[in-house]
Amino acid sequence: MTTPLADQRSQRRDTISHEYDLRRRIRTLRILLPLTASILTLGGVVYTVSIFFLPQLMAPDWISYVAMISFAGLSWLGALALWRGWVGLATGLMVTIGGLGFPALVVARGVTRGLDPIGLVEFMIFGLTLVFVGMLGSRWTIIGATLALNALTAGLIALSPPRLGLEASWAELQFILLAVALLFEWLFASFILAQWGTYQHTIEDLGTAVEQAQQLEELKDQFITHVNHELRTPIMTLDGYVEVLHAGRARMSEQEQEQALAQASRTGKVLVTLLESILEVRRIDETAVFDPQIVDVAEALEMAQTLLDPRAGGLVGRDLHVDLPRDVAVWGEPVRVQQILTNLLSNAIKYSPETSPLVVQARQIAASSAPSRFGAARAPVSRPQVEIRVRDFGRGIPPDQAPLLFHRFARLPRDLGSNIPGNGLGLYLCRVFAEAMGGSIHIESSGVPDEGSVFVLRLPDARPDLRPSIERASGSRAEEDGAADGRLYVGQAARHFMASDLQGRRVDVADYRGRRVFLAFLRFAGCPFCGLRTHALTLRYPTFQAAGLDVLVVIESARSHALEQAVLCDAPFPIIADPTGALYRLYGTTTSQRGLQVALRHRKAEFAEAQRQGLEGLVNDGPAHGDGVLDRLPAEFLIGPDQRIEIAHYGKDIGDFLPLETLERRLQALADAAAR
Amino acid sequence: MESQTSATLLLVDDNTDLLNMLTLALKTLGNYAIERATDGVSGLEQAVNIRPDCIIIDILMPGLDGYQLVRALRGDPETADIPLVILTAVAQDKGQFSGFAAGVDQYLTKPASPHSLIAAIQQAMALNQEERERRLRALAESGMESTGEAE
Repeated sequence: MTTPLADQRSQRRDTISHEYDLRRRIRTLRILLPLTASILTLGGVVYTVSIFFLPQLMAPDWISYVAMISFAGLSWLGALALWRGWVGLATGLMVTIGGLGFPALVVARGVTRGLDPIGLVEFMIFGLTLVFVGMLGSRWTIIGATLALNALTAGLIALSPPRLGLEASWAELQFILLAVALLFEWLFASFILAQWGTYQHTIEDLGTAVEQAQQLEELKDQFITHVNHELRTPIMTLDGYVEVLHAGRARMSEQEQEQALAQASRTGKVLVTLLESILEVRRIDETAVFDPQIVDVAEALEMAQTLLDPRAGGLVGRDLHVDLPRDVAVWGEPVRVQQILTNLLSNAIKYSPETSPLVVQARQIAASSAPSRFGAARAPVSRPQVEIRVRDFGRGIPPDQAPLLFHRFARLPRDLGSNIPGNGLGLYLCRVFAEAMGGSIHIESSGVPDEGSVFVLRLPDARPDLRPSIERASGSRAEEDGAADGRLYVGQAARHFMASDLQGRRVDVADYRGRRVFLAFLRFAGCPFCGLRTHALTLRYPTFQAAGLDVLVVIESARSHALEQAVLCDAPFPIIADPTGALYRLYGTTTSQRGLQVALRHRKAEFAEAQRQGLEGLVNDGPAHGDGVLDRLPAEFLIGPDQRIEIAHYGKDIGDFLPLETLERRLQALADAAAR
Repeated sequence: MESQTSATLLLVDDNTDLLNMLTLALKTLGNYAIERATDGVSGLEQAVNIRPDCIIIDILMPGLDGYQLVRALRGDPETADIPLVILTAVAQDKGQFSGFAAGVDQYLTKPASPHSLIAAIQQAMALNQEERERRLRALAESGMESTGEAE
């Protein structure tokens, strides 16, 4: 699904790419044209001298001579055109010389004289210019130019008559000559192609960066306009009351004064609420870390109702139909779930007629009924989720404007001028909260008045039978971790992790990519914090199996990926995360600009591959690798009294990739192995 | 204690909190009689029905917005000479210009104190029809520059 906004953005990106491409062409020509012109002029001078003053040196070749002089002239003309800013003409001249002139010359010479030393020199110049001309175009122009060059080379070499004294071995010579010529041509072409590829990516990244910057700028403008507008009226109201009370108290009845004070204080509160919303947005932007728990939907809904803003009218005079399955629960953060529901209810109240009913429904949706991640525009569901639908019977929302509502400070144009209070932050916060909890939110509305709209919130299902149910040995450490509910969280348990546990065992520190230097350091000197030393350096996880390790230690940023891989390939050894974060802190994060770009490309390839295989989802470790596409979900396990596994995904739950049963079976096997 | 009211004002603004404050302030400090409307259409209706001495208009309103209301009022001979004051949160010069171009007499930006609003109302009411026409003509001739001549 593309929105007009998305079209506009990609158009803008294209414009940026186009502009930079034009600049590249101009720069290329700026080097190419004077260089060609100078070389040809020099050649022309040498030629002239040899023809007219040193005729004994070689026989005059008039075709080459005239060609060289005219090419030199054309090149200078091209340089002049470029200097005047006529890029089109300059490109045209360059193409004429390199793409038409030289081939014609070489063909003419080859046909009349066969291969000779001068012919070969011309031939090389021709080849170079042809590829240079290719540089003015795209990747395909370069490949096309090289192929054309190959064909000409082959033709010339095949057709050229044997040179005197070499008749016997001529065929062999031709073959070698052809092979060497083609090799060099492609070598040169690949060099240019590589440059072109890098350049192309840089341009793309640049376009994205500029586009993001512009988007940010737009958001900022919107923000300022909006806050400006939203603040002016309440400030004037408050200020007005103060002035009236100050200047006109004598003429006011006691009741009027009382009312004025009450109103002024209410207006003050409106201002505070507005400010708080703004601050909340900032806070959200800074941290979006949640501590997931099982949240009872019915309880959250009840709490949400009590917290509705009475100014919006509350539920007085409204029929609220609630239809929830028994014991429906989600994974999330209780306060956030309640906030989302409060927001949705208060929107439904604000944007529908005063007596119209409201409907809240919930249902569980199985993973299988979900649309494929890659086909769906939003709300990918590839694990069991709970869908909560909040329906009103108001004016509805035009479908094309619906996605915009979840942006910061976005309000429908019709609401901007209306008397419905709102600051365009509520739905944005709902979206951020929902996504942070591994869920999603969207609108279903036909835009037809009175049909209303449905806000659909989806959160991970936390039905008892879906909760991880791996048998866990109860150790003293586990109890310390407050596992009163029988469920253990490795995040807590692992804090007790000691490097001494690992002494004398073969361990490997798994890292995703790069940072070999640090790993090598760990291998030879050990970690200065915990004394941990590694015995193997493996950067690709399937090789773990072959490494014959006792333990795998996984460093923070790499661990989810490492664990996914380890579980997927039936790692025959326990896996321990670096719970103190010491290793992680020591060598920092991966989020350099370059690292992000690489990761992004890497992700794209992964997505493409998963799509090709028809997979429903992809295990991914999120924002650290620069995609930010997938959500954060918890999945924490403790295995055995001393061995711990932490599956701390920054991205999707591993259950998305692997059927949950399979995952549990494998974890169980690991637990058994650890217990032995 | 209620003395003779000096004039009847019509307030058109979608924000009821603000309307409440203005009603109180203008009654108390300016001794005006106040009528109110919360959108452009009912504002227009009331303007025709009660013929207020001056109308205070917000720009961003649901339905008929402030400019449309001003044009409608100026276009109708019945209401063409009612003094109009724009009171808006849109703080842009071009808004002010289009306000004057549409035939507004005074243009105030929120937040404005009740006293400045009363001053603006008085000035708007002091303008007679001839002056109003002259000003419109001058505005048409000199473009943007004449927005400065509000005082």
